[in-house]
Amino acid sequence: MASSLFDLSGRCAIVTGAGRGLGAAMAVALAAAGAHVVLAARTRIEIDAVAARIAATGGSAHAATCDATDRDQVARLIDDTAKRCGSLDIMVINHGVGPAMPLLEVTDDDLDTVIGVNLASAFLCAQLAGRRMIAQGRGGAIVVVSSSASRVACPGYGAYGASKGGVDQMVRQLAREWAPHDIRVNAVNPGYTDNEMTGTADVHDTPEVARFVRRFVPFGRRGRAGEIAGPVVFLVSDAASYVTGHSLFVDGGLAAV
Amino acid sequence: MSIRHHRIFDLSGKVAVVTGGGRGLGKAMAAGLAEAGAAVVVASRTQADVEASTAEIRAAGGQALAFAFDATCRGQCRHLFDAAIEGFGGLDIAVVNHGIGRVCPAVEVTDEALAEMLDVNLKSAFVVGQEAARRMVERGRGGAIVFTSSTGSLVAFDALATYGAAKGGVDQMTRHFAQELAPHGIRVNAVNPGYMEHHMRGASDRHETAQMAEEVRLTTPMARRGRAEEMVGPVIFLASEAASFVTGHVMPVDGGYVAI
Repeated sequence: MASSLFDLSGRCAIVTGAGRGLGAAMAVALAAAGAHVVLAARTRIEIDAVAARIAATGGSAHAATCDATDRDQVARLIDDTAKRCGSLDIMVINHGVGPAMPLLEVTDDDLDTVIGVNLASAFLCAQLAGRRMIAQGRGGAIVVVSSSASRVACPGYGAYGASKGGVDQMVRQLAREWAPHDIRVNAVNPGYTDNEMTGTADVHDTPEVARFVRRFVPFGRRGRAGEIAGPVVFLVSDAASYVTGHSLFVDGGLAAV
Repeated sequence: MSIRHHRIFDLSGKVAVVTGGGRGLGKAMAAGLAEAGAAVVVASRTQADVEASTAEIRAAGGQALAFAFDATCRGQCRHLFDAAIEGFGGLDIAVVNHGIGRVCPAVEVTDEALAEMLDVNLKSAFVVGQEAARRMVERGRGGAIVFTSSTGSLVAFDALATYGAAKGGVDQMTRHFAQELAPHGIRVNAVNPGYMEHHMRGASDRHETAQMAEEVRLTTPMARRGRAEEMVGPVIFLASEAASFVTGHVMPVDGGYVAI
């Protein structure tokens, strides 16, 4: 029984934001577990490279250019996936932006961007994936990439934290609404990782952040992209068949202290 | 592809101890860890239970050793981990899963009932976790500790005040152990089962009623109880390399109960 718990053979997964960083690592890990992975992102050259990496290790994947903030493009992504793979079984909503700045300096435009990309477009991706899974009638698993900033106040992440707090609650809500359809919905909440999100490079690699990580992360280090991917494989697999509505913190203990 | 091929979930070469491994959730966890490749010491009070549990693991091709002990006795907890190290040459994973269930309105709880609950579900969990951690620290090769807590640690259930208090303590102990042991590469997490098909010793009367079946349908989004086998994946995950950056985390395995 246990030997097939984490096996994703025969399942089709979409990963948004799959071109680099955490999303690329998640796509590689899902393919290693046996899934066919649809790599979605705006930048073609990046997802082509990830597809080549997966193919080189004997995995199955294809790249699909998509702006995840555009409802029509996400609808087309899901239609094309279902046509090509026969079904959509796993949706990993990973794209996001992380502008870090003091709360007093956040402009309306900044707020629109962070809420629009991290929360509204995560919602629309989940909604369209959920509709498809319900229509298919064979259940499914959705994982939304949240952040430890959904619960812990991290310096500079006020607007970002608000968007991710919304993601966690959205996950609970969707888990409840779609449980009758055998669709599980969970979040993974990375803490400080080696990979920078779009818009965070200049604030991520500072001595202040390094001190914060040493002081507040029990592990005393950042996480590696691969360390966020294992939890995603767990959550979308049969190993987590009774886990839904959960925010799984992958943060070296940050949220516990 | 099996988990043996998917190496981040592979526990080959690891040594695990599971307390309360003679029946129910612990028995399923022990079997699952063995199937994932670990050599497992199955521990509980009842010799016949741990022997049956190890016999099943061996019959399935796994490595297991039976150890009957009283988890509320520190000396016996020490012997448990000594036996693991002597028997299998190491200690990598400790699943602290033993416990009791007692149903009683808070105002009627006696001193004896309170003491029993805290002794078994909190203090002895602390001692078992501590003895495991001492050996992991001594050996200097890290490790993973998983406590079996409960959704009763997070939300209130009728007439489970002492149980909830003990399990609330387990959750916070999990965070403290995680914080103190992180420098040694030891990860400490909890799994929190919700309504399960298997009932704990002392809780059967409450669970096997038509009213409770209706309660589960109404309050659990997945509208069913969990099976003991559904605890296996979360425990393997938390014990494995796949969770290498997960520590101090409390994971409900509850069909969505605490999300709503």
